[in-house]
Amino acid sequence: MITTLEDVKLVLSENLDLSSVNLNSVSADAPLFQELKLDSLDAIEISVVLRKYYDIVIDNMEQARGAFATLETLRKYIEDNRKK
Amino acid sequence: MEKNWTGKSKSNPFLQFLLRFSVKIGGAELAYFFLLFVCLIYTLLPSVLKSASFYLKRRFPQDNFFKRLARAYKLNFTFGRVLIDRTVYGIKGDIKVRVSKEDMKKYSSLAEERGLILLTSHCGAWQMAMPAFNLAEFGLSKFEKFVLYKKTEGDIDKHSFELSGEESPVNFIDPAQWDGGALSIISALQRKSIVCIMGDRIFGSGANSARVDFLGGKIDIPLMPYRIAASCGVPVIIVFFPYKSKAAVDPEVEGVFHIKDKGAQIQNYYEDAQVFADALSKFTKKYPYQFFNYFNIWRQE
Repeated sequence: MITTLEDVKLVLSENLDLSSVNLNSVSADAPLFQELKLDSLDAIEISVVLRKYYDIVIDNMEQARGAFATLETLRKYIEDNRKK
Repeated sequence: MEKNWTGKSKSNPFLQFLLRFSVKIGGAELAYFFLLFVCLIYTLLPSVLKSASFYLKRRFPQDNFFKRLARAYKLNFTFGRVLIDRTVYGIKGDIKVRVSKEDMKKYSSLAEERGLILLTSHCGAWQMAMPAFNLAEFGLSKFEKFVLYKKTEGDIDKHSFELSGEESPVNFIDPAQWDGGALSIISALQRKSIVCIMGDRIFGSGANSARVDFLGGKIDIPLMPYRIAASCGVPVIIVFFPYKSKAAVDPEVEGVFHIKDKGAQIQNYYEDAQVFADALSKFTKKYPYQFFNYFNIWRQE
């Protein structure tokens, strides 16, 4: 199923506290956690978002590690693994 | 709160060598004998006494200097015995974690269902039970085991598997990552693994911590374990490992907790964090010389 960058940005902005970040100015290839100033609890919330919106369970850390590198890798990860 | 601990041993290579040498020629008993004197030297060092006093002043606020000195000696001596036992019995794989069959079955079935978080603390014989993580006797040997643990580079304290050259019986998750190891923990739990977390230690900036009551003051402890448990629907077992006798550890389980998912707001988990702090407080009442956080964990109000 096609997943756009805008889809990912929308889901993240709805579920994480990103008030200090202008999500539209974050490029697809920018390091995700530095750019969005995310921390451990945000990482947990993203895992919740993946499960809730896309039925994706993070059970392979090697795979997930790469997925969380940038917005684009996250988008690709969602697109490849989503079940809904 | 910025972290104010280093994780680095306060010991030095010569004293470590002395204890290892005495273990080699005379076993644990000779090492205990040497420890009587080594520990005295340590306790008299102002920096060591100061480190021990952060806790002792809270636990025994009425003590005068000499009484506190005596208690610091007892505290350090107990810690030394744990480290000797870890070395002597850990290398040989002789440490037994004694749990009743009934409890084994209970924990095993909990882990089978959704994985399990073991929440413990730097107290008692955790160095014997947890870094060797000899959980075979805990009824959990068939599960993949992970520990959130930051091994300090250059630390001269060695775990038993490091000393024996064996492969580690557990996988370590480094908390010094952008996510504090959260994604690795979640990933492990999704595979129904067991993850052990020190509930009394903050990594990183500590922004996601709860300020809880502990021994008459406020301390900050991490909230991540509770949020992960809630979001993954994984039970949490609060367990401590009091040091009672050599080569054996009798875990004391404070309870099995099913943390309700209260959403992303971290303040919703303060109560859960307080449960852990209360359990730890209870432990220090029962085992006053087995709390081994040698730094000031209390907030300056």
